Amino acid sequence: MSRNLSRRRFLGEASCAALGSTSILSTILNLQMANNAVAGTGDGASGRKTLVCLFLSGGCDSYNVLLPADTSPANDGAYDDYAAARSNLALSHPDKAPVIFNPDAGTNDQIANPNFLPLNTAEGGAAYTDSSGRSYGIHPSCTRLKELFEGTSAEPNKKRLSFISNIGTLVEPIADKSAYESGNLPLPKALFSHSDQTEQWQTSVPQGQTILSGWAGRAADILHSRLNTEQTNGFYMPMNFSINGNTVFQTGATEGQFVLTSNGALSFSGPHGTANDAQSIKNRTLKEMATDPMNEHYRNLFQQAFRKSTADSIERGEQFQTSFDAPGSVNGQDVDAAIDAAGFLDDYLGNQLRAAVRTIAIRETLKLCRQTLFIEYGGWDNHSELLNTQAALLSSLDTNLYAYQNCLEALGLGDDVITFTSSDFARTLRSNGQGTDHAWSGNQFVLGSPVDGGKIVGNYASLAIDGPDDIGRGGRIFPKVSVDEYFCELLDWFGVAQGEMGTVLPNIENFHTLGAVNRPLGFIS
Amino acid sequence: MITRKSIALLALTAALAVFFFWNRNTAPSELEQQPPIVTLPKPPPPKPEVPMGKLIGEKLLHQYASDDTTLRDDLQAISRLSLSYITLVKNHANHPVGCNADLADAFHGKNPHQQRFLPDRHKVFNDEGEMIDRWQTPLFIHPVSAGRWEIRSAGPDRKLWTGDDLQLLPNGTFVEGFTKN
Repeated sequence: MSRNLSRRRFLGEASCAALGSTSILSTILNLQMANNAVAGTGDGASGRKTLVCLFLSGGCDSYNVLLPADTSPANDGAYDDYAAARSNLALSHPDKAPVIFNPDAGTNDQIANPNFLPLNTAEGGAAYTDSSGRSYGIHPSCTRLKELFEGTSAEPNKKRLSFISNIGTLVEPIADKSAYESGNLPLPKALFSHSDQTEQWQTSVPQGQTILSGWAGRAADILHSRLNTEQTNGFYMPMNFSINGNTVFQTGATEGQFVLTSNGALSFSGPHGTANDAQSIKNRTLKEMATDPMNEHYRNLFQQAFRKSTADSIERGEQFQTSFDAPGSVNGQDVDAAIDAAGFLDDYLGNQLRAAVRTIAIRETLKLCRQTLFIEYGGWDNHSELLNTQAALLSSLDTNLYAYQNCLEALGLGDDVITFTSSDFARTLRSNGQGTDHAWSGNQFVLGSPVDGGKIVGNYASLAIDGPDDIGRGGRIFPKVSVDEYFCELLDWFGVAQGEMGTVLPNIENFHTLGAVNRPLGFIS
Repeated sequence: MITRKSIALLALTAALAVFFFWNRNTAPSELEQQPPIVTLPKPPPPKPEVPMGKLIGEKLLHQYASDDTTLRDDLQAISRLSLSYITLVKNHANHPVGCNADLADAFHGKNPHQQRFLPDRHKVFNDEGEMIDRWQTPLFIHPVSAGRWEIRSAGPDRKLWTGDDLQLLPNGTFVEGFTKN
């Protein structure tokens, strides 16, 4: 039967359909996943894999996380360059006089900065050196990350962390400083700005175009229907999970993200509120309306689609929450017990990572062979104070990531989870007094059993002010490694075929020959 | 009766008529091709020097740090100048601004349009070319996104991140005191 909608009727019905409020927007957006995971006949999943992005928002000063330790003239005294550039913000060298932080010249308020921890080849072993023979140190708050890098004396080969040095957003490679100074190379748009650089790390498209999808979202567009083939008979669960709201990172053309909190799914109603509070009553009402099978209430396609999407979203949230609350056992290990024993801190990041472990542990129940998670950890925009703020942030990061990795391994999940860091940008080398300002290239790290640990890949920059890698303003380092190379290696492990890589990473062929035998950087075994 | 004399007279008259008619359509003589001698008028006396138009930044900052304005006015004036900059220089994102000196450079004309917004010497600049507040302390410019900056003055104590700081956010509101970015 044809329906001739009058303008008045259309507006009236559209208004009814818009009954949802912005407070349920994130929940409704979870239904981008209502898109059909086609039960494909693809290669299926030979195993389950999870990729976890830990975004250090604000612009982490990674030159005080991983720093050059070398004082030998053969290596140009790299630590001395570091110490000169950072002045009062330099970490002290264990073999040299301590660096003094004097926040207020003219007073006696002088504080010796702590020593960095030398990175070794194994616990108590010889100093680690890269292919150029240079040695390195790590921030003193990172004792456990140091262990994950080095392995332990009992298990010297169990190295699960590597660093990627001198990495940042790039459109094309920059051969050297003079190439940058020529002004003839296309550069990422709006360098040094928070939102633009955050977006570019998450889209991997730094040309400044309006990109509405992130690289994990585009990967989901390709992988979800091909590899998550266990989802049949109307069961649908998305591939991408965010513990920090909606992000461009996990937004694809057809796939979206499932937004959760550290307590689980966002839900209209459910176990997280009291039965009679106003929000719960409102949510229950919405749910009843949306799940009412009598389509007479919904008199046009728009409303019917809205009703179905809302009902799907509620159902999916409840399915997720049920599994999340009672994850049971994985590989014979009780998930709750493993989380309790892992040593997470009772802080923001600890809660986020607990939720991450639960979400990974229930991936089989959710019928996911491929899964991504996004966790945001803020507080790194340290203009006004660096040393104490960063020490506290790194301390939490160190303790919680160590607990997280050990927990995954205790559950037998360590072999197929990789966690990697990202950040808006690195910071200037030069101290502005007590902090540092926005810059460009820095260091990241990647963690997990599949990682070829104990390595520093890339080409660690010279930290000399006005040196060959500094483009000015007190130590802005330009990148030698692009984010595309970093992500390409992760996606290759994750299952994106070389022929699909250009769809996920449009600029990758500026940096890496697709189909080459070796991965771009070589940090995955 | 036509006499021979009459015929000769008639022939002479016709020949003269043809001669004069023919000569009328020929090119002018060489003498006639010479340009006329023109006497040029004397150059006018020099006009009095016209003052250069003020740059947009000079107009927007003409009362900057004066006794007639407040610190809030100063920060708003810098903000308005920034807005003019991003409005006029459409591809300003090609000149990344990460700090005070970058934005000052852009106002000096180091921007994709090479358009100058302020003269080299202006009371908003110190000798290093940075923008300063009314107490001569460099402003803190914090890039939030392309073309949106937080602008902070260290206040009378001339120390950033203390209680007398004043910061203008891109949405036009002010934040006082120590509040960090």
